[in-house]
Amino acid sequence: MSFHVRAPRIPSSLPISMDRTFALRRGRAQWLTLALGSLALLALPYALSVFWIHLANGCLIAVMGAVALNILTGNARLVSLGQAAFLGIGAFAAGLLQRAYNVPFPVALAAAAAAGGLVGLIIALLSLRLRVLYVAVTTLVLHFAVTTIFSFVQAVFLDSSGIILPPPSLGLMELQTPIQWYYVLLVVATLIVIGALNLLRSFIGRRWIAVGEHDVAAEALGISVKRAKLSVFALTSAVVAFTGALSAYYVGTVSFESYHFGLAIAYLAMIIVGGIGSVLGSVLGAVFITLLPYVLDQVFLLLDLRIRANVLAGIHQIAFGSLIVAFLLFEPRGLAEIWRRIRSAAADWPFRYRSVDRSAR
Amino acid sequence: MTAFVLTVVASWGIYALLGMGIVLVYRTSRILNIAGGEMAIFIGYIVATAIESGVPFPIAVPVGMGAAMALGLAIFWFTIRRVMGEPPHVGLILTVGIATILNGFMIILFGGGMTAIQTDLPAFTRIGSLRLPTPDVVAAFGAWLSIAVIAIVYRMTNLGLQMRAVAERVMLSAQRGLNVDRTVALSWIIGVLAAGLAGILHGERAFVALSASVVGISALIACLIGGMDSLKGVVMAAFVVAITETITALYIDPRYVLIAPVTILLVILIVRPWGLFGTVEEFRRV
Repeated sequence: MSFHVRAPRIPSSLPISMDRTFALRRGRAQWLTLALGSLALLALPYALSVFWIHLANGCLIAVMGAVALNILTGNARLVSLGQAAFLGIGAFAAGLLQRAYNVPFPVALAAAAAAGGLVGLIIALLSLRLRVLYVAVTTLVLHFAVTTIFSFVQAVFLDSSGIILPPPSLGLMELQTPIQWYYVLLVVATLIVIGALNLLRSFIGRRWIAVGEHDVAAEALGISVKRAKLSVFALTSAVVAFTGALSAYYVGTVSFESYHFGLAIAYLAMIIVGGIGSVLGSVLGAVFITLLPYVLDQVFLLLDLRIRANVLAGIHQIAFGSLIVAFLLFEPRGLAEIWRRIRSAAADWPFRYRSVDRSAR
Repeated sequence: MTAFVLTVVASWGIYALLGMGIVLVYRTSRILNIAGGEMAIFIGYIVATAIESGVPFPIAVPVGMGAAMALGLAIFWFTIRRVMGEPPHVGLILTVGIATILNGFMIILFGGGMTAIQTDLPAFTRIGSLRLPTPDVVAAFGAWLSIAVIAIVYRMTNLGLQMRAVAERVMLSAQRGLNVDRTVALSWIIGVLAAGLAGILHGERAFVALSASVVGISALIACLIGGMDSLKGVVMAAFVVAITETITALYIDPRYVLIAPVTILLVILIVRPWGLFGTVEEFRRV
């Protein structure tokens, strides 16, 4: 018999006072890290070439999508395979509005978020009666339905290349150079990350987590499972659709080919590799998975292996898939857990672990 | 008209076979296998490549079947074995990973292009006064023969009894001395074999390509309409999927075949989420 039962989670720090437990930042060292980290992020574009700035922007977009997906799949435990579909819904909503009515950029983004939220709400209504697996398959089916509709819309109403979006204007300036985009995306991504951290420690997020852990127990505690599922699906889908619209403006085109199932798998890989149910994990995973193909290409280039482009695509897929499988089997809490271990090892050095009364602090 | 009927019967058989593979595996290990389509096409590629390099069809098919069984055993041994008893999303995401890995290997090993499984049979078969396209005849015959064999094994042999026991109550069957791991391994071997056969027949009838793994989506939809844990249900539902898809492809556009099955699935999910023949599972409420 190999039915393992996971050991129960042991909280890393025992709560001594509530405000300490719920604080996002504890102690001077963490404020210092935060300050240095923000400085590094702000200075980053001046240290990079245009190619790497584009990659950094890709990472930021991935962070937004991954944080939202991780709340839905990692915290509320509603496995979504429809990430690409929701990104596409956002992109097409914004793109079609832009094309038909030439609406301003913020309006297009808001409409995209609303469209995503609405579709998310419909899927959530279905999911009320369904268990985990069925929710996953419903979103999978949604993916294929939505991409079919997009390809239909594109073939019948649009040019074969899709919709071309103009560079958006934010009040006074137009967003054109990658560096401008970097700062805008950085601000948005930061807001989403902070928002996610705050939501997850508020009563709303804790309800989502409770429903994800055990819905019957959550209902027994007086939590409305229905409202929790509806709200988490609608909110995260809106954020994902918003991300999709933003990235469509960044790329400059909307075409159904961009929203293939591989994209949904890449996002799934981000949250698995980064760490299910952890905001830090989403960020780490998003950066890791976005950079992975390029780093692999660089490695092959350095080794002077001449690999044909389509074989390279195959290698990327195998890398994605193996990472998903390997992290699920061997490090289910992902990079975030590895990072935590490294940090605590450094903090406790030269000792192997801290005594109980120190870890309480 | 006969051609239409034959087309429906052939794709019905292929979806039912692939769906049976998914259901068999789901019943014993409670893991929803998203990778069914990729497994099917992977085996399809193996057989197509073997035939292109000169192996005759009657030998290439058993080779493909052997490869499918080996693949099933490998997947069980290296991954599934380790996640049994974990929460359901773990196994599901695992199969997504497996699907991606298989996709990568299909690109690297076989180029990922479009090919077909060639048989040396004449293009048309005469049955009485009917003149029927041979690939469809072979596909329909092969699929329904495989379905019959699997159904007989599942219903009438000790092996099938053991698999049903594990599907029913894992703990109880383990207490009665049943080797659960071995039984689950067998169900994965048979499940991937069914998927592989479906892939071979699909390749023989239509084509083998990366994009052909959408047969897995059609089969999954059939599983859900019929009820994830019902073999009878998936065979019935595969008919609904096959006939709506054939009509759409014939009269509207082959690109939009998924629309009708998806719509039916959504209706089923709303009125009968456990599927037409699935075990009724009421949500536990406080």
